[in-house]
Amino acid sequence: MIRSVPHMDEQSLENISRYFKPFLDMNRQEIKELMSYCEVRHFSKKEVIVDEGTIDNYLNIVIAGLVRKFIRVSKREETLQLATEGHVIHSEISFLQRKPSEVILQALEPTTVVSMSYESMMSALEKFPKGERLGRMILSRMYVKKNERISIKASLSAKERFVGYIQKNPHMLKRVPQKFLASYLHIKPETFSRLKQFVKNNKGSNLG
Amino acid sequence: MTHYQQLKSFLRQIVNISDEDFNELGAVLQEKRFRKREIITGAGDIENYLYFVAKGLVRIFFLKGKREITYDIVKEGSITGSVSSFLTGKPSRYIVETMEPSVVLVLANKDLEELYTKDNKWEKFGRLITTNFILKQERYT
Repeated sequence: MIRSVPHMDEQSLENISRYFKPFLDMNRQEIKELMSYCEVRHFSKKEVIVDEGTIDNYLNIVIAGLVRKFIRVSKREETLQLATEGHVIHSEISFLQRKPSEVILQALEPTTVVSMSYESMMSALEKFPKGERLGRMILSRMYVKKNERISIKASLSAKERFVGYIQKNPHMLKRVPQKFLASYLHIKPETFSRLKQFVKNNKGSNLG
Repeated sequence: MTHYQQLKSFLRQIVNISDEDFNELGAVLQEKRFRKREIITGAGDIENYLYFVAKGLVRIFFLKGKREITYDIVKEGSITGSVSSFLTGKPSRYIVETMEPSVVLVLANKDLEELYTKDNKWEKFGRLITTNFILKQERYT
């Protein structure tokens, strides 16, 4: 893992502010101030970012690359989240409650994240004027995304989940190993292959 | 314990709220009664409220075809509502319905938003409540 102080040049600021905009409108000065509470971290492919049993000390936004969050259940691994550019990912239970993480975060590609440590966050909440609001917005989005995953799993069929996901995220089929996508969508590997073939054969037609 | 005292008790598990601040919040709350099996929020509705269950039992579920799939059951002393819809302003995927005659304290989104713009302490309040929602979510799905 390589850690660096956030670059302050205009291009980097522009790049990074892009990822914070969906959460809260901030001007250049505010982004600069926010970044003083953050660090930029780089991980190589397959590098473990947070290990099971350790306390997650960071909140991360992916600015390049892909991170997988998973949990070990019996002998299997269940993929809980696949985070690409603009996504927030961390072990939120561990981070918020300061308990050992039950989940593992691993980079699937060379990855760059903008991270805020727990200590920096406590400081930012106090000193950065928009800190509380930004925190609330990030947490709201986290709740909503998690809720979406729960309800999709329970309300849609495997085919609906597959088609819905691929239509929204076509690039993920190429970026993510099939077994991880299947696990994430709660689809058996055999079913996943079959659905992949089905979508291929029906490209261009209305998949409904 | 009055319904308001119940709410204050609950909130104090999550956030350090003074009597003064609680009274400020209390001033925008409304008490509402629901019958048994009354729909508080329907599927497709936009959730504009959060409800503190002071008395009774509330079920959150959605329909899969004709089947009702229960997502959560909320008893006295907890906050309920179609929270995702409340946070996003998008139509609710869930139905919120009472299982028993219930008494709730209701907070309107517009009143909460007004508190947020009034003072940063309410942003902190909102952050901590949202944190609590996350910690109560189904763990690992």
